[in-house]
Amino acid sequence: MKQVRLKPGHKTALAIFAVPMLLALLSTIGLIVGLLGDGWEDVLAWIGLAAPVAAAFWAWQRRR
Amino acid sequence: MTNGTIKAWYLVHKWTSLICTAFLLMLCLTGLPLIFHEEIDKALGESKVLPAMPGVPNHDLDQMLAAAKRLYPGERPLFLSFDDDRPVVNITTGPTARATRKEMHITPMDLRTAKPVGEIDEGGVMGFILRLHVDMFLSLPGELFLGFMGFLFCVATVSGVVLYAPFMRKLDFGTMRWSKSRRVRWLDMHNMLGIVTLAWVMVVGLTGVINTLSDPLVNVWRSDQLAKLTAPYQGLPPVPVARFGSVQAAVDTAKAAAPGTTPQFIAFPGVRFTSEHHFAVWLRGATPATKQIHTPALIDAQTGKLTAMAHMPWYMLALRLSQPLHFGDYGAMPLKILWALLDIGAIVILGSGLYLWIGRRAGSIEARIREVRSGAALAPVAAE
Repeated sequence: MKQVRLKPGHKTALAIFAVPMLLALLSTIGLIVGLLGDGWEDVLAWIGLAAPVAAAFWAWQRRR
Repeated sequence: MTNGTIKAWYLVHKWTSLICTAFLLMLCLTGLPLIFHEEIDKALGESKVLPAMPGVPNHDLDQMLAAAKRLYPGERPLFLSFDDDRPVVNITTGPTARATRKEMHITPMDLRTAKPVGEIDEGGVMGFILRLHVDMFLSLPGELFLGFMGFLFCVATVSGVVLYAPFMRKLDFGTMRWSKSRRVRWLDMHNMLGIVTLAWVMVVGLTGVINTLSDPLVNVWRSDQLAKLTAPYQGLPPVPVARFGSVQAAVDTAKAAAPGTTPQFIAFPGVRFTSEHHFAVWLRGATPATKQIHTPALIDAQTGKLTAMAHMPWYMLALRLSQPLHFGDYGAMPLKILWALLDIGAIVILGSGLYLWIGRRAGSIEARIREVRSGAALAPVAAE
């Protein structure tokens, strides 16, 4: 089988996972903080979980 | 990452996904209406909302019990439980302490009028969807089976994240190549949605798996903890029903011992979940988290004194906290809407995964690995 050669200069694991880790962190904080109460805690939960949803819409609108 | 490593993870991703996808699609589709079950029940008129009676005080529990006994003379009290969102106590009576489910009478009664009210309907469309979601009408075996499917789904998710790394080496986050082939389009969609929903999917997946273990764990915990707490009473003769003290006083004693809690469930002496000599008052807190933490207080049925108060072991805490984290019902309507959007995302991930597998072109596994390694830039692309 033909060996696929990739040119140097491709991304490090950190670069690949930087945004995903940030989104996972925000989601997790939202999921947990929402459990702790029913006032401002809920608002934090909404913000945290809105992050992955917003990222998906952002990716969708810049499809090409 | 070597070709061998990618191949191994690719195979894990492929097989765990293939096995669980059909069931996970069912779970995501039935889960969607379940997120809004309160609102749907209301719209369908299936919820039994009681009229507001401002200024009417609640009867105490001893009065409620007396009213229930008049409905079923000759029976003894077994359990009391409280509805979440209406002023109702459910009183269970039966001929003997160890009465079977069929011999028992469960009477929901309005605390303000001491009159029976309609039961919350467990049937109907939403009841059907719930059973399908929980156990596919197969009880515990169905529940455990779906738990295993959920576990495979979590493995599929982890392996998907591993494969995301080589795929994205030359691509920016959120790349969606829409004008390329249909396969590249759906690959990008699958990867993007998979990685942004990762934390939510893992939390809902793992808590779903934990929830399937609920029944066995609760039974073990209740009997195990109970035996320890009531050890000093072992060998004493059972307390006859006529000598039971006030249940309202027992609840008050329990609440005083754990401020900020409300009773969720009360077991009368002799029944499962308590000893022959105690009221077991299961208390819960007021926040979404502490509401899930049930603390049993054992009250001596004759003296009305607190014998012991237990705390949940770690595995019960995990189990109880898994429920809101799975249902998404603890952050009002905005959280439900986000939950629904993320659930739709999961459906698209499952559907696109299935499409990518069905639409794979004939070719060796090496072709698949080349596709992963190159971010689909070097896959053989046929005209579509």
